[in-house]
Parts: sequence; structure tokens; C-alpha cells
Amino acid sequence: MNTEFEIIAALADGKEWATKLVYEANAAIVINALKSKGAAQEDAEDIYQEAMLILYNKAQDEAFRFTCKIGTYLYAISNNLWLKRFDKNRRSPILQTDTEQLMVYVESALDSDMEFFAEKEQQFLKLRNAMQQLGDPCAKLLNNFYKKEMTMQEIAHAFGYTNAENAKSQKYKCLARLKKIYSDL
Amino acid sequence: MEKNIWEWSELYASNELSSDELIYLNNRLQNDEAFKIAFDDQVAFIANLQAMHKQDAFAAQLKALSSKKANNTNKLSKIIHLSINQWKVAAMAASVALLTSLLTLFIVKQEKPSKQYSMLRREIETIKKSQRQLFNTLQSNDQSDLQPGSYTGTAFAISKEGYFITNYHVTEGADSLYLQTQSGKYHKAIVVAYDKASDLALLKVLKASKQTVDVPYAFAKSKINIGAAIFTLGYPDEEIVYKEGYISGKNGFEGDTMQYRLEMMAQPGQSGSPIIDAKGAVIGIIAGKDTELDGTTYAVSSSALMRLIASLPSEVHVNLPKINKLRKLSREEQIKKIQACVGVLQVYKSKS
Repeated sequence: MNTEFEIIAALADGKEWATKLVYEANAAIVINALKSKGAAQEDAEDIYQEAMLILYNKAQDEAFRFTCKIGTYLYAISNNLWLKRFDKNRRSPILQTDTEQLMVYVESALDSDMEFFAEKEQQFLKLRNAMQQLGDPCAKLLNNFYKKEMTMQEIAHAFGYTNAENAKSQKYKCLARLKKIYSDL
Repeated sequence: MEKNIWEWSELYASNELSSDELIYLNNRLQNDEAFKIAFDDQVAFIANLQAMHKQDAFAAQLKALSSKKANNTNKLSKIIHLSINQWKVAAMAASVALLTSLLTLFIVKQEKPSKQYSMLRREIETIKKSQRQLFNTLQSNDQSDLQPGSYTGTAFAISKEGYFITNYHVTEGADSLYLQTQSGKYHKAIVVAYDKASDLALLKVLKASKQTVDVPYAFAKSKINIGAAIFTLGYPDEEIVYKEGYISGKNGFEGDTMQYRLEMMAQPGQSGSPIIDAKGAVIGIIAGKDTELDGTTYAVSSSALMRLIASLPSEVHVNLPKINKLRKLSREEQIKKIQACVGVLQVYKSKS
């Protein structure tokens, strides 16, 4: 048995077993709760997926891992996402939470988690854009290194560089170009 | 081979430098300002790139777990961005719709916190020494992580289950709320629901004991007439203060139909205080005062409160008292009963 702390740490580290465990333990509860509030199945699933992403981002902060109640957090953030984005027919007054227990996570804190994630997404979007403009072979080289986690030796071989050292200096040139494109965007 | 700055940045961002290299790097960073600026910039950039790929990998795991299996996991990030964009459009459309339907209301409301209208929460800077001692006791009570209270308002009980009402502007942006009742005890309170437009917030006091509150007053269901005598009990100071006046206008600030206009002095800290008529029925809640007309105070009418209560989902049970126990009592006796239900609300905000 893993403690909640161990699970959230593994999830933050990208361990698949932890992602699966957390996802499956809370999916039904959260999705059904959203549906009971009027969300369509598909929207509820989208929200749940985004809530998981927000949790993942939030869990990069070690302090959060110590205090995090995974299920409660996912429920609260999903609820907040639903209120903020989908529940267009909502009239004031706004119901802040369902139960007192949920107040562990205040609305304003959830809002700032959502904003933080949205900002991150914006940056990543810009980065992807820059990557597209960078073009091959640079984009491919960087993807092989950062995404596929190939070694410089493998990359040198795949791209026909004489040795890893050459491939490495090529990679840094590509990085510099990518950064230039990114800042100009 | 001498490392170039990108290599330094990357090895640093990936935590792959030896301790000797770290010492060398630190030295260089301290002595070479231009190098430091470029280095910090590049480390942040690489960290971002790494974080993006890590998050993509995580998102791919999620997608695999989803019940609607996508045929191509590579498309995941695009799918997510699309849906985010759709949300933005939807949110924009929704706010446009809201704007059109509530345009008149917004115009009235937006002008509200103008020069002429002053909200009556009490900023902590104006609080005297004795009040600071209160915060000290709070802090010594193992709550040292709290920032000093940002300001105070008044809240009063509306049902025996521990629901209190105050102004939305008092609770806005609060990290935590503490209600201090006549007995001197502090209770943590949470916002259960609020209505920004009418400036009301419904609080629930979290109590250790199951002890109920005896609410002696009832609530007026419709607006009462101009000229009616009214009084209030609130906390402009650390002690409860009684004030009286009369209803001077059927509508509030700039014709706001959810409000009354009162002729009665009010001071900061009295936001959220009950306005009670001679027979002991709560007719409104103090919200603000006119800065240009001395003695003109505005109160949210009890019907706005009724509306808030009526719109709560069924899980929240707020049973407003139906019997007015103050009807036949003298004013002193009325006050004695009411003041047990009125508390000072300490609002804590982080310093950010």
C-alpha cells in the first residue's frame, strides 16, 4: 500500500501506475457529480482530464504533496472548472461549494491554480509554435532528445553526424535558434 | 572540451553537474554578470521545454485511460488546446449574453463604488490598540500562520443552524473568516453562497458543538414604507453599538431597487449589520453610505436575502425563523436578545 504522499509524488514524476491509480479511483465519482450538475458525458470527461493535468502541475510543488487530499482536490477543481466554463446558465447567486469539507480548497485558491495552468498552457502553445517554425532537421533532433529521450550517440547515428560531440553542438545551435524564434513570437 | 553556455544551462536544468562543476559555475555566475543573465534565461527556457514534454507524456497517459479512446495519442495536445479554445469562446459568448441581459443592472452597479458610495467595512489600519491585542490573542492561539486581519465587518445569524449573513464586499477575496460573537469566542466561518449584485454573502459558522443559535427576529417579506423607524446593532468598534434612524427612501443608491435609503449615521465596520423595524422584523442589511450626504446610509433589503436563500440548491437547508419573538418587548429587551446573534467578522487576506 502506498501513502497518498507517495502516490502524488509518483504522479508528479510521471509514473504511469500512479496516473492510472489516481485516474481510476476518482473518475466515476467526479464525472458522475459533474453529470448530476448538468454536464454532458463528454464535457465531464474533458473537465476531469484537465483537472488531472492541473493536479499534475500542482504536484510539481513538493509542499502541495504533503497536504494534498487527492480525491477532494480533483473534485473541487473539476467543480470549479465546470462552474467557470460550462455552466453558462448559472445565475447569481453562486453556490461556492457542495459541502463544508470541500472548503479545504477555497475558490480563490482553485482559481489561481487554474490560472497558473492556463498560463503554462499558453507558454507551451507558444513553444510548440516555435518548434513548428523551427523546421527539420532541428525540430526532429530536439524531439528525439527531449521527447524520445534518445542519447546523443543515437542521435549522431540517426542524423549522420560523425560523433556525439558534433551532434551535441548541433543540438545547442538548434536550441539557440528555437529560443530566438520563441522570443520573437 | 570547454563547455559552451548552452551546455552549462542544460546540464544545470537537468541536474547533471558534478559538485566541482557546480562550484566552478557558481564562481563564474558571481563574477560574470552578462553570463549570468544569459544563463538564467536559458535555464528557464530549457526547464520549460522539459516540462512541456513531461506534461505531454502525462497527458498521453491520461488519454490512454480515457473511455473515449483516441486512435492517435500524438494528437492529444492538439485536442486539449482545441477544447480550451472552445471554452474561451463559450465563456466569451456567455459573458456577452450576460452583458446584454443585465446591461441596465451593470450600469447601475458599476457606478456604485464611486466617490459617492462608500462601503462600510473597517480597514484594520484604523483600528486602535485594544483591537490589535485581539489579533495577538488570535495568533497565540496556534494560528500564527495567519496574516493580521485585513479588516472587519458585521454579520448576524439568520437561522438556528449557524448560518450568518454579511455583505459580499466584506468577504471578497478573503482567505479566512472568523466570527466573534458576544461571548467572545471565535468561530471559523466559510462563505456558502454569495450574490455580488445585491452585495450579500451567506456564511456558515463551523462550530465544534452542536449548540444552536436562538434567532429572535423574523424577516420582512416585502419592502416597508418610507418613514418607518428602524434601528441597528453592529460593530464599528470592538463593542456592539446601537443606532437608530428611519427609512428615507424606498430605493437605494442611484435608484437601486434592491436597497433602501436610510437616514441614520453609519461607520466603517457596520457593513453587514441588521436593520430592524420597531416590531423586531429584520428589513435589511447595511451595505454602504453616501460620502457626500452625511447620515445617508444604504441597506440591502430583506427581499434580496430571501431571493438568495430561495435560489440555494436543495442540499443547503437554511430555515429562516418564522416567529418574531421581539414583537411585544421593550427596545432594551429586544436589543438584549438580538445582540447575541450579531458578531464581528474578522477578514483575513494574505499580503499578496
